Amino acid sequence: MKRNGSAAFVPLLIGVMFIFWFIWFLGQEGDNTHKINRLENLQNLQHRLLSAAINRKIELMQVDDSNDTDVDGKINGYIRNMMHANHIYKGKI
Amino acid sequence: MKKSILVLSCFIVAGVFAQNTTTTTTFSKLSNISTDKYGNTVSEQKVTISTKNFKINNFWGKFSNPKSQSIYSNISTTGIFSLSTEASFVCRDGSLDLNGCSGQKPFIVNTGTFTNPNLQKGIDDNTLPQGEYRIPYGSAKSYTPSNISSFYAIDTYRNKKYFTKSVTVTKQASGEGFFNYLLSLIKNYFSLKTTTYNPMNPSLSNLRIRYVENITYGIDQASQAHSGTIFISQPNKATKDKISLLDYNNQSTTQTTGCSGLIFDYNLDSLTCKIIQFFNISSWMPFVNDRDKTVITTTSMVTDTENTLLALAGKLNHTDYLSNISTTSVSGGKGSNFLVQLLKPASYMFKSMIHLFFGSKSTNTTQLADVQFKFKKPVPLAFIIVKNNIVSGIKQMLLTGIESVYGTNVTQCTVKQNNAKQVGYISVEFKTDATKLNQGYRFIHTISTSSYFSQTKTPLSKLNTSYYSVLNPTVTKWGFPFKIFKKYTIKLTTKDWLGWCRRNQGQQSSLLGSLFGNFLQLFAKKSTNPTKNQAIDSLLHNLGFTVVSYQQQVHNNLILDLKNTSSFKIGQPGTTTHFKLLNVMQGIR
Repeated sequence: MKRNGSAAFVPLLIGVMFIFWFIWFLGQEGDNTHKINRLENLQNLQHRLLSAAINRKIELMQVDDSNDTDVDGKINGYIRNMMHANHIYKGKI
Repeated sequence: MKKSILVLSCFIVAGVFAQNTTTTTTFSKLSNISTDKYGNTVSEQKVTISTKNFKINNFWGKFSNPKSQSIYSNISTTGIFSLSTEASFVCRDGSLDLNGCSGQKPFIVNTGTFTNPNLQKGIDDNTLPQGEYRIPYGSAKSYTPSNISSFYAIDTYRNKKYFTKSVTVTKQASGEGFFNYLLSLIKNYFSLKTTTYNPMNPSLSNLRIRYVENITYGIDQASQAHSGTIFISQPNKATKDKISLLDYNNQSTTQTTGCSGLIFDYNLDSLTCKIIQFFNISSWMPFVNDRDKTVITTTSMVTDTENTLLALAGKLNHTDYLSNISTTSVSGGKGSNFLVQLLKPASYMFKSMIHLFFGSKSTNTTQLADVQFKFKKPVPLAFIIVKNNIVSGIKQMLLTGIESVYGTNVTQCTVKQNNAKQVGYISVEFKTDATKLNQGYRFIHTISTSSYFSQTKTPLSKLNTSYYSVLNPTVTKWGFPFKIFKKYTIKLTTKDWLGWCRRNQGQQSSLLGSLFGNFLQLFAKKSTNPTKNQAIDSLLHNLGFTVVSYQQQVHNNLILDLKNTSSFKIGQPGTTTHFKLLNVMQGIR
C-alpha cells in the first residue's frame, strides 16, 4: 500500500506546533515572571525603605535648626538615591 | 481629523515613553498624639513612597515589538508607623541593654505640685510666665504625701546587668619604703589637712550608681512606674515590683581652720596650730593666719542629681557646665596684704574696744555662692506624679536651667515683741498665724505663715506711708460719707521673717549697745527709697521685734527651672524616638 501523503504528518505537525506554542508560552510566562519579579522587587524595596525613611527623619530632626520641609526634602533625595542604587530609574533594568 | 489624532497620539505615546521613573516620599501629619502610661509621647505617621512611571522591558515581547515595555504609572507603598518619643538621649551611646533604658526619670512629685503658686515664682518673688516652675529638691526624710513644694527621688530595682560602670574610689596614695614614709610624714606635718574622700559602704554605693543611671538613661523598662504604690515609710527598699523613695545623704560640710604662717602651713593637729587657735593669735600676730575652708563633700543625693543633670545638659548643649561649678568657692577666707598684716595688732585692739562697747553682729563663715545655669536646649524630663502613695500619672517637662544653691539656710527663728512702739500716732495691729510660744512667735523654714500689720490712718494722724510703699501695703478706704479713713495692711511671709532674722540675729546688747544704738537711731537719716529688706528692718525695729533664738544650717540645695510641655516633639533634642511599623498598604496602577 502506497501512500502519497502520510497521515503521520499531521500529528508531527501538531507536535511541532505544540513545541512552538510551548516556546511561545514559556516566553510569555518568562516575561510574566520577570515582570512580577521586578514589581515585587520594587515593592519590597519600598517596604524596606519605609523604615529607613522614618529613621532618617528622626535623625535629621535632631540636627540643629531643622524644619519639617527641609528634612522632607532631604529624605526625598535620600530615597531617590537608594532607588538609583537599586537601578529603579529611567526605566532601565 | 484622522491625521491630527494620529499626531496627537504619537506625542502622547512619545511623552509616556520619555517620562523618567521618579520616586517621591511623603510624610503625613502626625496624628493621635498622646502620652502613654509610661510618660512617652506616642503618635502615628503615614509614610508613602511612590514610584511613578515604572517601566519593565519585556524580553520576549522584544521579538514582536522592540519597544515593548510594561509601564506602571504609580506603584506605591504606604506604611503606618507608631512613634514613641522618650525623655532620654544617651541610651544609644551608653552601651546599655535596651531594656535598661527608658525615658522615665526617677523624680516624683505629689499631686498638686504643678499647681502650687509658690513654685511659679522667680528668684525675686515675681510671678513666672505661665507654665514655668522652680521646684526645689526635697529629701526622702521630709517627704509627706501632702508636701507639694518640692520634688523627690525614687529608687528602682535596676537589674545588675545594666550596670556598665563602676565607681572608682580614690585612695590616699601610700608611699613605699622608708624614704617615702619620711617624706609623707614631713609633708603631712607641714601641710594643711586635706579632707579625704570617704567611700560609702557598698550598698550605698550601688544605690548611688543606680540613681545616676536612672537619671541618665531613665528607669529600666521592667521597673517603669505606671501604677502601684511607692514605699514611703522605708526609703531605699526597692524590690522587683516595688518602687521606693531614695535617700542617701553622706553630705557633710566640713569646716577646717588651718594655720598658715609666713613660711609654713602648720598641721591642724600640731601643737603649734592648737596654740595659735586657742589664744586666737592669728587675729593680732602679723603673718599668722587662720585659713577657713569649707568643703562640701560630693556624696550627697543633691550633688549627684545636680552633677548628673548638668552632665546631661552639657552633652546636649555641647557645654561643660561641670567645670563651671567646680570653680565655685564656698570658703569665706580672706586674703590680706602686707600693710594689713603689719597693722594687725593695732586693728585688733581697736576692734576689741568696739566689740566691748557696741557689740557686734555675728558673721556667717559661709558665704552664699549661688550658681545659676541656663540651658539653650532644655533637657526633657518626665516626672512621676503620686497621689496618696500611688502613681497617678506622668508629666512631661522641660528642664530649662538649674540653680545650685549653697549657703546658709535659716531653718527656724523665734521672735518676740518687746514694746510696741507707735508709728505715727496710732498703734499697729499685728496678727500672725505663726506658732505662738511663751516668749514670742516661731517661724520655721518649711512652714509657710503670713503676718499682717494693719494700721488705720485718719485725716489727722501722721503716718509715713511712702517709706513702706516698697512692701506693697494694701489700702482700704472706709468711713462715711467721703471714705476719709484709710487702712494700710502690710503682709509679711515666713521668708520675710526668716530673712529679717538672718540680718538681725546676734545683735546682743553690749555695754553701751542698746543705749547708744537707740540714741543714734534718732539721728539716723532714713533713705527715701529703701529696699524691701531695709523697709522690713525698719518696720520690725520700730515695732520692737527682736530675735530670741535662731537656727541656721549650712546647706546645699538644687532648684530645677522647668517649663511645661504638652508633648515631646519627634527628634526634639534630648529625646529618643522609637518606631514600629504597624501596617503596610501597597498598590499598583
